Amino acid sequence: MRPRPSKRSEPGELQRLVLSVRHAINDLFAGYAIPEEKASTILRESVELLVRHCGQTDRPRQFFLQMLEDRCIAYVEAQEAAEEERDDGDDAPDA
Amino acid sequence: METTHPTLEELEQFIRGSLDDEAAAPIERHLEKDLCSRCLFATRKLMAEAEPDLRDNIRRFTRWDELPAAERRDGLGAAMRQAMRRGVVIRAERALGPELLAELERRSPTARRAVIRTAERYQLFGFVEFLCHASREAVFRDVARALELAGLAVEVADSLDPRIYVAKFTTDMQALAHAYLGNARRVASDLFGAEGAFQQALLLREQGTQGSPVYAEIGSLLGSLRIDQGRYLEARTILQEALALYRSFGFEREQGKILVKLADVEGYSGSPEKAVEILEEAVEQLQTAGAGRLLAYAHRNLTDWMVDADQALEALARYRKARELYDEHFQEPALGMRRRWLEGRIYAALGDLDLAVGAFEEVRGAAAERELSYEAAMVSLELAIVHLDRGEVAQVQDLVEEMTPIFRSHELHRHALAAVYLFRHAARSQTLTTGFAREILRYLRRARNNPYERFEPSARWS
Repeated sequence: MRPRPSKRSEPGELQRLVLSVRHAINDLFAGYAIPEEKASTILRESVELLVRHCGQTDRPRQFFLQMLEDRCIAYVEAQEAAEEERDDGDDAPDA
Repeated sequence: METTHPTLEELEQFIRGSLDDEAAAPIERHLEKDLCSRCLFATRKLMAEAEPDLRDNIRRFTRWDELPAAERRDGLGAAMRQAMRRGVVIRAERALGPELLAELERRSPTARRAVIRTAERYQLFGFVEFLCHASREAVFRDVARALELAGLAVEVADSLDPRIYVAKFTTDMQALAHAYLGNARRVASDLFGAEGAFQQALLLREQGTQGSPVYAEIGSLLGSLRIDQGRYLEARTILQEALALYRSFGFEREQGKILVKLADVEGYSGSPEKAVEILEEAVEQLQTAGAGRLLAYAHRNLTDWMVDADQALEALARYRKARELYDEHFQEPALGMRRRWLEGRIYAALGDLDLAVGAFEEVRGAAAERELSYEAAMVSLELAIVHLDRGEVAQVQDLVEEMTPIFRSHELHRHALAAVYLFRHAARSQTLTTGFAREILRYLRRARNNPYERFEPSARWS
């Protein structure tokens, strides 16, 4: 049986984890063209999710990056949906 | 010994993340271990005030084109400390759960809800988590309590203050509380009510943190409802989606739990061999995760489906291997009864019919004593099958005559009752076959929580 990660990570441990993936964070935000304001919200949510669930995962780094990427994708999809809706509105015949 | 409380200034530094880990540790202990509600509520007030700081710190980190690396790193460090401290507050809220629940339970059920809506003391994120967890723990022991706890969780989740918690997380909690309410209703056989609660949960889930652990947990609970509704195709899709999420998160225990449910989907759909395969994977997963009670359940289900898959010897070997686990985790009388039942099934499958009859009779007695009519009906069918195998038609006749209390009880839903009537009729008219009895038994097993599922005999018997 392989050893389980500790139930609760030390504060410094999580901080080091996030710092160690800072380049990946930058790449994600740049890759999905996330504006600065939204990037803060996404990062904030992901950090809190990491803090809450780090005891359940044996791969906290991957978990954190996945939370970030999921939120980036959700943002891009929401933007695209909003754009489509606007386009549909423009194409609609005048009443 | 008199408790020393941190000063308001220290609490403020704590929640703003300006205390280092060493200085923060005694405050963490005070909140989480000493359960000082006075300091907890003072910290929560400060949490709302410190919110702009957290946002600024995060923003500092994300301004990679403008700020030097060191300043960005400091921003992240402060934000992380703040997030960790918020985590401490939520855990402390959760730890306060038993005390808050005891206070609420001193009031009438209506007054409980009113007080939750008006008193800030109960409007805690961690309290919703606690109530959901408590409902899950209670659901198979005391479903009425599980319903009440989940109802309270919904009430608390609806009253969370958006200035203190992240809006999406609050929505997650609302969705989760509705899902637990749906889960409790499912176990109480109120499948329409369960469906309603889950529809609400799904609507809320769409507005919450999609693709998160809460998202997967709701999927896992919904999967159980779809199984009870006999909607196996949907159950499979929903559970596989949740499994994929848990795999990607690296949550081993939850993966094992989903596999246990997926095995039921396969078993009830008529593929016990596939159920066995899936449960073997689940057992491995749960062993790694060190999930004792769940592992015991997985072993028990595995043995059970092995019997159905005509793997009686393997079932016996598996049962012997898991004996210690059963002893450790199945000490409650109802679970002890199920263990004996399983032994009977293994003996019957091995052809050791005397031992099988002994075990089933014991279970029948225990079920009658505890007024568990559904279980009594099922084990009577098990017994009838063994007697039929031995050509003991008279014993089957005696057995059905002894089933009168089952027909008088209100525990069997009307479709289950109709199926048991058919069994009695066939036995009395000496047309009962083991095949037909097995079919009714399989139906009863499947329709335990589903009062809407009819017994439809296969063409062979009609």
